[in-house]
Amino acid sequence: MLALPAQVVVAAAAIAGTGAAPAADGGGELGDARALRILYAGVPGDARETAFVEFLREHFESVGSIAVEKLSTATAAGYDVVVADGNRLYPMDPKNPSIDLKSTSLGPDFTRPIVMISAQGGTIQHHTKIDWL
Amino acid sequence: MRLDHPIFQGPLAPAIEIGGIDTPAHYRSWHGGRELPEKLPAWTVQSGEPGKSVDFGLVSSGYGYEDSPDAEWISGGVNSKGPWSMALGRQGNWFLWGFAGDPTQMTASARRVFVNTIVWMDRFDGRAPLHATGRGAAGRMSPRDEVLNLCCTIEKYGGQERMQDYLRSQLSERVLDEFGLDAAALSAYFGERIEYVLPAKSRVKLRDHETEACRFDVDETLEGYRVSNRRPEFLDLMQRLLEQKGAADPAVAELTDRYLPAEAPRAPAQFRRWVADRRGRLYFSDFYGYRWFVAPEGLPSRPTAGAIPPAAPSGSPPPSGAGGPR
Repeated sequence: MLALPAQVVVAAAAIAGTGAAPAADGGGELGDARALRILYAGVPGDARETAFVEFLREHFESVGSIAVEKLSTATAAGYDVVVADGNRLYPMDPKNPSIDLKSTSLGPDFTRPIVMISAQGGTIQHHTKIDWL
Repeated sequence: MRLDHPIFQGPLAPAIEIGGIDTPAHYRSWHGGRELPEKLPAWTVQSGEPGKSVDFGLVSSGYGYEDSPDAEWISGGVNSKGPWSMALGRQGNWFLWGFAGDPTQMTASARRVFVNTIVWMDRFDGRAPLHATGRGAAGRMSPRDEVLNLCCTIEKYGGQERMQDYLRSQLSERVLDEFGLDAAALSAYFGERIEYVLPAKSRVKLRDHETEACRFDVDETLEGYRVSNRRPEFLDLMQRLLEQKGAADPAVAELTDRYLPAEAPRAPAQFRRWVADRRGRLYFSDFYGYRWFVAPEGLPSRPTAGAIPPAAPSGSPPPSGAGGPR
């Protein structure tokens, strides 16, 4: 049975048992981290690609972009961290709902750090504990 | 939400503002959900109407998520599943950012946390998950906290004929013979024996198809010893049994074969040295088969510890590192 993605709008914070609140906004610099080479893997020409790449370039000196279907160990070489994204899924056609997410299939041999955005978490890989619920 | 996690600290200080939201009503039907307060503290991550201007996101199960030392649960999120579902978390080199909004939809603090997440993940280059199989794979098991949630599901749906085949398929024949689908009795039974839970997989026939199911049961041998299968006391028990009865004893062999790594020596003196040499690296995983494993040396430790917020299911695994001998 295909599990539709869960609705997630805010992060529920637990006050009890957590550490001290972080410092006020406006503080902190990336320092050497600005030199991290970031690869955005998404949908070329899509508004999401524009939004993510522009944002990432505000913070990191080197940001590349690739179609997520082409993401692999080889294409991620030369980058430090990957951001894996996809196309919008909503609003869905009520007569033909589907999760047609542009993606690829990465296995355990993909060991580059990768931040999976939303539905990509349960699509681009199936070998970790991260999966559709 | 573990506010003390590094992604909420820096390098960019995100100035997270905590507000309050009404606890989603459907959270109450989850185990422990009735004890949740009327309002939950919450941090707004993105703007937009879910399913319209912003996509629904993805959450992953929180049950058993941290029973291997390569995984960290960082935050839940309002979702259609339950209060311990994970919206932000990592396993090995893989990070789930479960929110779907792009940076133009993220709040200012979320954009900073997103950047911090990228910086945080850089240290996990080459750090693949310790086990290379996911939820649907052979050998993967339902973590024990799920049986407590199953009892809640039985309470809610056990009277519906169309659900009974499925619900029965999640329990062993022995347990069904004793309790049937009596939710209260099952909850009491498993709640009192959460440290001895041991499911087994078998083929089951549902209404119109066969499937493999993880059927919950209790290890009655360990219950007799009053020793948890997942805490360091189990290793102490094995030491005593190997010394007193020997590895060839059928009852001892059953325990060693079921729970210990194949490479663990069965001779008592060697077993003692083997455990001592791996102190701090031994961990028990429900998810990966209700067995003990040895983590590799040099594995980065989790920066946070303690029960998963807002209030962990009873019987949740001990904090990071506590699953091994001390």
